[in-house]
Amino acid sequence: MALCKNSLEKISAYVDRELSRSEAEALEAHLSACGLCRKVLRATRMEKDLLKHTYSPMKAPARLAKRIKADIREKSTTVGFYAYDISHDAYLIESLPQRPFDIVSASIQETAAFLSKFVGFPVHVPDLAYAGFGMKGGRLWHTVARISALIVYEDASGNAVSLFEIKKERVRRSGATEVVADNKSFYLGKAYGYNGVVWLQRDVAFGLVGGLPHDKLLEIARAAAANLEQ
Amino acid sequence: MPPHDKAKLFEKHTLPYLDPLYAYAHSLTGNGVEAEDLVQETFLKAFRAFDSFKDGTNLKAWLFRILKNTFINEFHQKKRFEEFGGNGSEDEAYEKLIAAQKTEAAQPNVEKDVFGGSFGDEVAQALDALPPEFRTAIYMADVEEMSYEEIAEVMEIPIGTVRSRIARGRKILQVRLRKYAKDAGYIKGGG
Repeated sequence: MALCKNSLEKISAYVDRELSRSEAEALEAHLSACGLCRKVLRATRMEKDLLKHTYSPMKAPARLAKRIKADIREKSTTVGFYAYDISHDAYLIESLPQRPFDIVSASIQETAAFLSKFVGFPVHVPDLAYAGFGMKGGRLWHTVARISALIVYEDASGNAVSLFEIKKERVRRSGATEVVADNKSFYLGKAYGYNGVVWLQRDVAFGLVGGLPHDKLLEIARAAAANLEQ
Repeated sequence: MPPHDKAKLFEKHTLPYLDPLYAYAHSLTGNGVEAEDLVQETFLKAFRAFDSFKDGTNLKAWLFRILKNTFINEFHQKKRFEEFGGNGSEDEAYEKLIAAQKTEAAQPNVEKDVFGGSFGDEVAQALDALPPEFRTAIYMADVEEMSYEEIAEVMEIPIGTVRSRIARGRKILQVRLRKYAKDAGYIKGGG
């Protein structure tokens, strides 16, 4: 079928009515003399028909319009986009002029109570001591889409990670690279040099973000999830 | 504009495109579940960017473009493009596709004996052989019946590239569709 190579693109454009009149006439003259190109023309028309008949009648399920309307009002997002969003947020927070934490306390209970009061859902503060990370402070973070609580941890070498928390309903489970560990799904994302690992637990969507590689973050995320199970 | 009015205005203008966007998403993901998510994400993104949308620009092309970019950049995570040498030129990617197809054709085809599934599934499978950029160009021409100029707007590429992508993509697609077309009685015999 590699003969009449120049005609291939012409035939394709001809079927789409994208040839000028003179080009079309020249092609028609060639077609009347070339059986092979007539075959290509038939195959092209068949393909165009098939696609048209397969996809044109397709209707979106009725629930989709409802979901979209609810989305626009609530601005929920998929887990993949959430992982991307918080990585972006971490980048923003780091690049803004330093602002003090909203709460600095060595007490997990006190930090959790303070953050929960402002975000309006129970914030969980895992103890990451045995993963080598100590708590530095807690922050409230407003974006257009939502309010999150975040807790910042740091290890002995100065690697910082932030744990974002928002209500679970705001995040849908799809569209991301999924890693299953400890019978739990973790979702990976990244933006602006920051990596994120998201998982859903209790009523919260947790998002761990930092400059560390994904495998290291995943390790910390698993430690946090295990700690919260207790 | 009060937020509530903005949402209403947005819905009024964009929801009429829900079905065509869903069908296009279906052609990219190959299944309904992911297609729904992709469309949902597209509308959310479009809503966030709605303030920057200028009256008089082509709303339909804008929505299709957001969907395509969402699929390629974040949803699909460029998997297919990488498979087919996403770092190289488009010509290289195309050559690899053709080579892959020849290798496939040379091997005994197990699928040949498998009948079943709807015809739409088979068209979806054939489409799946094409990178999203080729698929999109053909889809817009065949299903949406857009002009090459409009397709160029959706895809942010020159018209000449639209034309060559459609022709090249069709060549690959037609080989894949041949068997299905025979089964469905579109073409007869050995042809």
